[in-house]
Amino acid sequence: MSPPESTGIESTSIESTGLELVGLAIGYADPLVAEIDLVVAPGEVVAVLGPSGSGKSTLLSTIVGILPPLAGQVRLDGRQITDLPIDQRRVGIVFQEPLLFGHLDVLGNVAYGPRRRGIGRAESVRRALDLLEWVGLRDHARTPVGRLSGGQAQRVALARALAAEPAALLMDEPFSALDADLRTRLATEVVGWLRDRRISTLHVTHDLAEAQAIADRVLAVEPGSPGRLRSQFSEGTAQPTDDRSG
Amino acid sequence: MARRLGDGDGPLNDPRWLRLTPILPAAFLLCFLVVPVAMVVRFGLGPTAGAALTSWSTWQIVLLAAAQSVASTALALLAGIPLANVVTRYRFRGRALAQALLTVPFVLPTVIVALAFRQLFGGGTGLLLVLLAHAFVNLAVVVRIVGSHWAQLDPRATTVARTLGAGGWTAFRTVTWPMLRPAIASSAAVVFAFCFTSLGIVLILGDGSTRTLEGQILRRTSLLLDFSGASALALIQLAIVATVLILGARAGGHDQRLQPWPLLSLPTRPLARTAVLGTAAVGAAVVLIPIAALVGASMTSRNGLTLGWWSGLDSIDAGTTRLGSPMDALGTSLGYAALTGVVASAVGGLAALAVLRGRAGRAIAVIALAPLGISAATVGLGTLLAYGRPPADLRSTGLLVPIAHALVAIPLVVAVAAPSLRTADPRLKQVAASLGARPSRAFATAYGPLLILVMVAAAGLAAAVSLGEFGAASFLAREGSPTVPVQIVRLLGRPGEQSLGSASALAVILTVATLLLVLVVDGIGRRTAAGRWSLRS
Repeated sequence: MSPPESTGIESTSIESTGLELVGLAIGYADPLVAEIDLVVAPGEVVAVLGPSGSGKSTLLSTIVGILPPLAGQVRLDGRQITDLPIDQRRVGIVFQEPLLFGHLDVLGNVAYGPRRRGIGRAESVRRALDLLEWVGLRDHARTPVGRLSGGQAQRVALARALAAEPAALLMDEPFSALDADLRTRLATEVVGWLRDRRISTLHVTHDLAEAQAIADRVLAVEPGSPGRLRSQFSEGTAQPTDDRSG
Repeated sequence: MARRLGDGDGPLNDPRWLRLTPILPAAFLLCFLVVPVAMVVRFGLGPTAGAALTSWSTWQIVLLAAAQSVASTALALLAGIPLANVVTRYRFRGRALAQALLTVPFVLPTVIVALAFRQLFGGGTGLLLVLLAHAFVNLAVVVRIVGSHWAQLDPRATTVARTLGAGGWTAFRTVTWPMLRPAIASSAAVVFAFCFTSLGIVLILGDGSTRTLEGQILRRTSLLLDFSGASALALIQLAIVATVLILGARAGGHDQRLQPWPLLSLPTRPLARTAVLGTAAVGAAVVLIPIAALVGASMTSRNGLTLGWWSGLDSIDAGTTRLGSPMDALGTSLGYAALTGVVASAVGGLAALAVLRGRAGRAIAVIALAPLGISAATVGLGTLLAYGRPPADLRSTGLLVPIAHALVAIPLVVAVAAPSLRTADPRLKQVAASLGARPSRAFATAYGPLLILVMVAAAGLAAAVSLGEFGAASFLAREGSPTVPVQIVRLLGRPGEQSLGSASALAVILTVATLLLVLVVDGIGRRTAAGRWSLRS
């Protein structure tokens, strides 16, 4: 499935360099993972594997701006964003749970980002409807989010994240709560959308099979004190992964 | 008969007498809730009721009280919501203490809060002081209701909103606020109902602009002896409070997944961090300062520090020759509190026990909660109408005050006891039965220790309620034997610093007694909530 011309959402510029993590150390008082050097190119999907508590989610929290890094920088399209507030980073995030806003309907959820970016109501609605069309849920625009199935809700969450035009998207096991069939189908679809839009995507998961199925490269958090991010062999690309990551 | 394991917690394993447990609560509620309310309704439709209902002054009071209550509620929300955010969501040293301090205003008798505010603001009165005192008392309501809801909201929803371009305030306004709306509406309704039916605070701190129907009900009853007019006002008040509470319960609900979340770490940005810690510190100070003012007033006179108000508490001169000494009032209050504790824990405890038994038992428990929506003055007036005159004149027995207090306390007893009793593991009963225990013994094994603890806690809670209750007591306390809150109000009606000093000393004693009782109840509550009453696997 490819993005419709009419979405009105601009792709990341060709000159963009994607998401860069430079000498990053993450954690609370002590580093959980250190010396992270990674570039996620525009349109590239990088998966990070690791067991619970290994620092995967902490990595996402740091990139999105909830936690400050203990050392290093986060850059997006060549711009240093480490000290920017969350809302100015243009980094989207999708969690395992869709976390849809229960007081808004499907359309209201997807139009939320464009409205916050200063786009007028009518234009925001048009963009949201285009995205809903794209994820196959235009007929559900006025549905209260509580009535959606798990798969539908996760599609809305993705549409909502994309509607805000992020330059990078972080995915925290967004498919793991779905049943196996739906998981594979939705994951493949979503990754297609992200590549089409040239969005740098970092996907954390503990599921090796899922990581290999959808990612261009797979990295793993290697246990240690602090841990390190190491490359893994990706079945999807049959190439060694980024040698700068460790 | 051989007993089988796995019968469930059903009637088969229950002792027969358990079926009789709803009888006492049902009879008590019939006699002392249904009959008095029926009397209020009967008198509310009486000869002078029409005049009270159509009088412009009645509706003027309704409007004044409504405006005052809206403003008080707004203030309580304004102060309570940031405090709820801080003490229920963030992890920091002193959080538990701040949380405990913030519940203090709610357990303090309203008369004492009013006196503390009066001392704090140099003996002044007026609308602003009434609003501040109401906001102070209800801080705990907002923090408890909104805080417990907020602590169960997924904090990542706000993060998602921020990644979509919403600034901090916009994310709060567009995401957090709508999710909090049901809790805010329900706490606002409770606070409104409390302020609309306020009596002690309005009597001590109020002026002409802060009248409430509750005060008018008392005035018509005790000064004008217009029971019919008073009952009509009670019915108007009942209708308004019930409507607001129902609206509050219905407002703003939508699908929300609530679950407890771990406490958040303090923000890393210095400004945000200071804001969180500063809010908690200000909240604690707001609670402590009026209490400190009260203690100060009990130990100072025009000439400086003195213990004279304390040492004179047992002399007639310290109070009034007409009313008896403050210590006598304390004795009366303690006696009433003890009796209330026994009655309320027996009736409320049995009502809570009835919850464990089928639909009829649950109906009794629901009826036992009804006094929550009925003002203290309505309870007092109804009790007076039903049992303060022939043929059933119980005034001389001294039982009317504890009965009314028990009625006010029973909903709280049920609310505390029923969930605690549910923590008992019913399998204990089955295990005991399988070891040969007869039904009563098996029941006692499973529920006995917990029941005793719950009853003690319930009695303590009811006694604390009785110690501070003013509305019903102001109707029912006999002229010569007032309770402490009634005595405090009467003392404040007399000029002179001795009256004020004695009232302050009495208020400090009552504060300490109330807080001690609440601490004991809280301690027992924590023990039962810790799940000690289950089979360990």
